[in-house]
Amino acid sequence: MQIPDYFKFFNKTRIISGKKALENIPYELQSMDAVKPLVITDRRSADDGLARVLINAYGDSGLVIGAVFDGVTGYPSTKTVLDAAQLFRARGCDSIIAIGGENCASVAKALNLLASYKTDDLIQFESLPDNMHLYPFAVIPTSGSSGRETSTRSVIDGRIFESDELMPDIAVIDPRMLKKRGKTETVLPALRALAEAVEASAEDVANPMNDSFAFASIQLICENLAAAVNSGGSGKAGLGLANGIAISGIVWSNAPEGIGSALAEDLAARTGNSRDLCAAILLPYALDYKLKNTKKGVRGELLLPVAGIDRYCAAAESDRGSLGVEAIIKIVKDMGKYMPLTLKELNIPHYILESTAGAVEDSFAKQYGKGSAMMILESAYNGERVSGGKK
Amino acid sequence: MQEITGTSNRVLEVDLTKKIFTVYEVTKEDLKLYLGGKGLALKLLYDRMEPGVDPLGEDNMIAIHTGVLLGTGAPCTGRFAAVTKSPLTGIMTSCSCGGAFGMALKTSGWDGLIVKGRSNSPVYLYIDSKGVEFRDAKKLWGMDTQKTQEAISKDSGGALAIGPAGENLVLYANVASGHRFLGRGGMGAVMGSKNLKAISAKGKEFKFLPVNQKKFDKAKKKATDYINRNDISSGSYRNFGTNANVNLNNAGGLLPVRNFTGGTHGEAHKISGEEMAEKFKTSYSTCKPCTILCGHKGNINGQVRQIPEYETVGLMGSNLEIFDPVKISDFNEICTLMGMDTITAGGTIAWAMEATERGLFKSDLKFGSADGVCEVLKDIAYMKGIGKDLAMGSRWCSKKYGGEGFAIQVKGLEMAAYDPRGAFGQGLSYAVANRGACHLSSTAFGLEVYLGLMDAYSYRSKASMVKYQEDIYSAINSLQTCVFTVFPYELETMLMKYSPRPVLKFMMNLMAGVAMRFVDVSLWPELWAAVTGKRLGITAFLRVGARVQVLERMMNCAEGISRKDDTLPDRLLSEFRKCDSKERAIPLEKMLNRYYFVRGFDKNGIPKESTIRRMKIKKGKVA
Repeated sequence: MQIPDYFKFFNKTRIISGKKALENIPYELQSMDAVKPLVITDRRSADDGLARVLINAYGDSGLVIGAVFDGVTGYPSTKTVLDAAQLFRARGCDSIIAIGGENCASVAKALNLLASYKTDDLIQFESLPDNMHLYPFAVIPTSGSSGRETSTRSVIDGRIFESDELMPDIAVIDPRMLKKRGKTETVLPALRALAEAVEASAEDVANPMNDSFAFASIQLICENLAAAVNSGGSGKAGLGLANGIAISGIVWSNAPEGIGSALAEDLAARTGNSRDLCAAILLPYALDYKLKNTKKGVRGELLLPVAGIDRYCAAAESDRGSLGVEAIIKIVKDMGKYMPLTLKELNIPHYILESTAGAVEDSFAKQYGKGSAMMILESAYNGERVSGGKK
Repeated sequence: MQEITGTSNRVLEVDLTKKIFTVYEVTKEDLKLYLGGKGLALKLLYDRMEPGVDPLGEDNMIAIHTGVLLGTGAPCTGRFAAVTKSPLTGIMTSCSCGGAFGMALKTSGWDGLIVKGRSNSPVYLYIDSKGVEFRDAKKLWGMDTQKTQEAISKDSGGALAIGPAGENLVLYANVASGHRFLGRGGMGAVMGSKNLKAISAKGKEFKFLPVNQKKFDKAKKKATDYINRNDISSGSYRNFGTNANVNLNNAGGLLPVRNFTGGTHGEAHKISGEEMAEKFKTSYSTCKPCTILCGHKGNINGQVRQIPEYETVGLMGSNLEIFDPVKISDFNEICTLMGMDTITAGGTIAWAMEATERGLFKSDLKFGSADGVCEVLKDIAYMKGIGKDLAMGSRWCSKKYGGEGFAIQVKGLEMAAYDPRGAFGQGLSYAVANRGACHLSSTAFGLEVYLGLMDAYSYRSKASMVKYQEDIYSAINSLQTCVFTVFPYELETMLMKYSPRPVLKFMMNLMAGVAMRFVDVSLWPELWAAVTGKRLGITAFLRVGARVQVLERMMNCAEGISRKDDTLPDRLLSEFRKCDSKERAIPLEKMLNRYYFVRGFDKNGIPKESTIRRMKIKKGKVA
């Protein structure tokens, strides 16, 4: 096992997954001296009856839900957080449960800051200390969650709040909360989560703790993706996928940003395409580039979670890295029925690629220059394998 | 004065880098397919510009075209069109403008003008029948739009001029033509980036005669009669200007209030056209020739000033929660002199006010207070202090500071003063309008709220209606006449005037696509045909409009526009207002799917090959 000279890893989130997982929540919160949570969710989840499912799960616990706030929209705003904070105080709540995806979790995390520090000024939290005393916070990911629910980040009005303490205390993954969604809606966040987990473990500075989480995430996503797409993110495969995605958020919080993610982020901001989509398209090309054009290539260990123990053992050590990359490429390609596979299909004008390559150059100057970024982008644009091949 | 029968068909191509000009003669085919005005200007750029051009670089071009009707005396034809790539949005923008310049250019013997390159020092163009002179503009540089026009008026029949905002490359700097403007998208910045301070034309060297004078006179009389008997054109707009819309919008929940968080306000009447007419003792101040007479001036604080138009009153008044018409006039004056789009300025300042409230942005701006607004407008024009960032528009600012959900813009262009949560068809219109959140692409709110012919809260038939309006407005802007002629020329026809209202409502709500075919729009092509001597039927006329729409969309798609951009800000899709107790959400996706179908676009919003062929659009620089 590769141990770097120095590494850090933090995870605060306990994951409870499976049948009737929700029923554990009252007990878990009570163990943190919390008895009256505010539920934060969005209209879609509320209309799907998910808040009702949670309330029913509270059933015989003897505890009550303080209130349900379903005002989270596609854009988490300060106003939404303030409205939630007002309700939190008015009902005398002492904990928070977020039902939904990234936006609900972001609002819940920001709410936790305001509620815990008894303020309405979010701006004072521009830089966050590591030791904060926040209210107990549980997250219940639903279909289409992206993994950021379990991360250290909250984004409100485009402003980023980041701290280890913002991670939820518990993540509860219950099949009843994984309603059927469209195939594309299931694929894209899963592939983005996969991209982040793969990049985290493919980096030379990966550490053994993050590796184990990353490999778990990769394995769960790869094993369950195809079946989960068919079931719209519900059922057993959906549960496995949701677990993989939830773990990816923890991985993401503990790893530096990879070149693929950085390019995806910039491209998404520049073109208005979704971040998930850009990340999904760029993943195979970023990996392909790393395999063929960097000194250390891609670690052979990647093949294990992607392809399974049999294929891993059967492969020669020197081939494992390239086989791992090939397997990832195939996984993404197989999803081509549900998403575009090239940047060209997104109608991104070619001249935008240079701007994106230039924008990420500074962050990756040591490992990847503008030329490298352009190679990845060009390949992703045309759908062609990256050229090169030291290995 | 020499006479031209029909049109000169000559376009000047000016290269500012080399300081030369050439004469281009528009082909018969392009004239037939694009008519003139907006359509032809767009086509001229389509043939010449590659995608990816830097809007503030030398390779960007401005195309101006006067259209066939200008100079003939047909009512409301004192307008011309201009097209360029917008620095604010990064896609094509087109504007229609009044003022004296169009007439001066046309009567100097030129139908149009294309400007490219960049002068190495400030310059202005002087145009007469002989061609173009490149005159030094160093002494003009720094002058406001009105002083600039005055300074070059000696031998000029009309001029375009930029102010300090254009010189400083404010992304929404506009271009003045008298007291009218090429308003949206930053044409002023494009001129500024070329060191082009002004364009002046001598005028009165040619007069234009229709090929068929008798037919023309008949059509002109009919047009004038329609205008003079229509309630909107000869009533509300003539008497109160576009601010006649204030009370209507307030009643209909369309008025933008506090950065589009509200749709009505108890003090709205203070900024209505009716009250301003009385308060400022207004009189006419309009484009020439104009029969509608919507433009007004008045006595404001001891000065004679143009009365701000409705968009200014909405975006710099109610949207900032300011209901003092004198203050709004002050803002309008600064934008006029500096040369800035009041819609984008108002929308950006509203964003800044809300972002300040939320702690995302530092400023002294506050809703409900005019304090500091004049100073900020000047700071924007001179790119100083917070003005430097605000000069980039609300989309850019919200990406830098946060608050994207309440930057009320589409495709980078700030929204006009009609809240689409009170008129769902207007929501579709904003989402799909080629230049961004433009209210002049299709005025769905007119049918939905003003005339009450369509259910404002239904998605039914809205796609067909929006498509139809887009086509007809693009066709009108290619003739060109003022789009306000839509009210009299359509509503005064037999069918619209005498059909029972319930029947009209039924048809419009359930089969707008069919109903629109029965609307008599013959007056516009009649005027065009009388001037040119060429045939132009109604179908061909509407097909021109459709062609121009598709061409513009193609050029935008080459810049990356697709379905993801045909949307509305999060506030308008998921926040509700107190004036709507039923909390009705705009069903945009449904309307969009249908719109793409009727437009002949694929599900990603890209024109299909079959559509392009049907529109007879040949391959140009755009792939």
